[in-house]
Amino acid sequence: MNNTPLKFVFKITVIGDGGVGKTSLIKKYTEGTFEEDYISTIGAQFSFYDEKINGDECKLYFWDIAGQKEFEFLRSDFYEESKAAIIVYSLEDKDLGKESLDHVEYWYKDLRQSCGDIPVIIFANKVDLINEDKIDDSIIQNFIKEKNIIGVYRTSAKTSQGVTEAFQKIIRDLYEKYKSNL
Amino acid sequence: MSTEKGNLLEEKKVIENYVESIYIYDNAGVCLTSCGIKPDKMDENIVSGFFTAIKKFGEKLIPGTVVKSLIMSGHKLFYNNFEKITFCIQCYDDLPNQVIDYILNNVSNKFLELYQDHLPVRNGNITIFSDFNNYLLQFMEHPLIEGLLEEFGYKMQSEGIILFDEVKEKILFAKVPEEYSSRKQISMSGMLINLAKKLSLEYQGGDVNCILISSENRWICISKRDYIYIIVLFSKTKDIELNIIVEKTEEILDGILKMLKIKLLK
Repeated sequence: MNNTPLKFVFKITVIGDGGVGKTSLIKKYTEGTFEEDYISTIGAQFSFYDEKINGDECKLYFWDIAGQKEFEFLRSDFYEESKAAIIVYSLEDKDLGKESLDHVEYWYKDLRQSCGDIPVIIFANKVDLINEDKIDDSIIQNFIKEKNIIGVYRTSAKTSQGVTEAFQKIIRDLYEKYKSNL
Repeated sequence: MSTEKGNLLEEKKVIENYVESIYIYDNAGVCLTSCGIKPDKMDENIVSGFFTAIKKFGEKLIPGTVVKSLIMSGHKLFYNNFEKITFCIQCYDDLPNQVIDYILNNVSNKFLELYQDHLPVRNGNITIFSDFNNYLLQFMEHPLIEGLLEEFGYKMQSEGIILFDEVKEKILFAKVPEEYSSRKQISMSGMLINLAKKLSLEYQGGDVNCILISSENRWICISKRDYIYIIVLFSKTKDIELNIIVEKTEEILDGILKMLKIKLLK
């Protein structure tokens, strides 16, 4: 048996409404930092995270795509050949939070049109801003039924809650999927 | 330049003296392999991601077009796109385009020859392309001017090429049957150019760049810039237009001269 370590690179598209914390989540996971000030993403940003699993090199390569309407014309091109996607919405009890939850379906459909049935994970972000006991999960749980969705994770880029666990889930799932298909 | 003219080709001979980096990536922006100088702490996938985004943006901005190059102060990036794979070269901005084409074509042909059956990468596994890094490293050590001249000779179906340094009285490159690269033959070419120059001045024609001799058996094209001569021999049996012979011979000589004047990367 050949024991030469393998090298995987997985492109992950990160989408969701503007201001829900996509860039902050990636930054928290890849750099361990968080910035209070909101800086809107222009077009797209790129980051990567690498890790060894069973001696194989795995690299998650994030395309953090701006959620604003102005960048819609570029979006489908930027999705190309993604191996998985993260849809982020905000749990905050404001219009931005509610609208971002309503728009999860739009993001999912938009992605499906370009990438087909790739695995998707949902990050319910900014959990630090609300009382977790009062979260009503029914809408999102109904939405994910019968879809190729890895799971819904409550996250906070500010406090780190759930961040590592959610990202680890993607990297492990992709590794297992593609390694077993070799 | 402190280096003596005759030693220039010797010193500047390999590709890595001209090329900063080469990146090969797919439409997802995933870097399959790369080599050369990279900024500290910058992952190659970040570089290929930005390039891919710029390419996609360019296609949206002006539909039906492709981003072929990016020019920055002192540096440039050139792209070759083949079957959803992009080959990108980063180099100094004064490297002639024909040299860039030569390098990109060589790299892309070899890559596609080896990996065509493995493209596109559907499973994220890029292990196989690691081997190509060794090829790139070897390729970077290839003699560049010799390679260019050989390719030129092949494309032009020439019988022979001689590159000669007048100052050092040294043949810099020769790919001809042995009987055609003697000192006597090269000196006569030089004398002929000088004689033609005198004749041209008599008729107020200015300096002579090129002479094309149409003889019974072959065309002999002699071109000169500064202290460098190029002599190209073509068989008369080949169906090549005369203006193409002169144009291409001068073009390759200009390219080489330009390269010899480029400050070394190392």
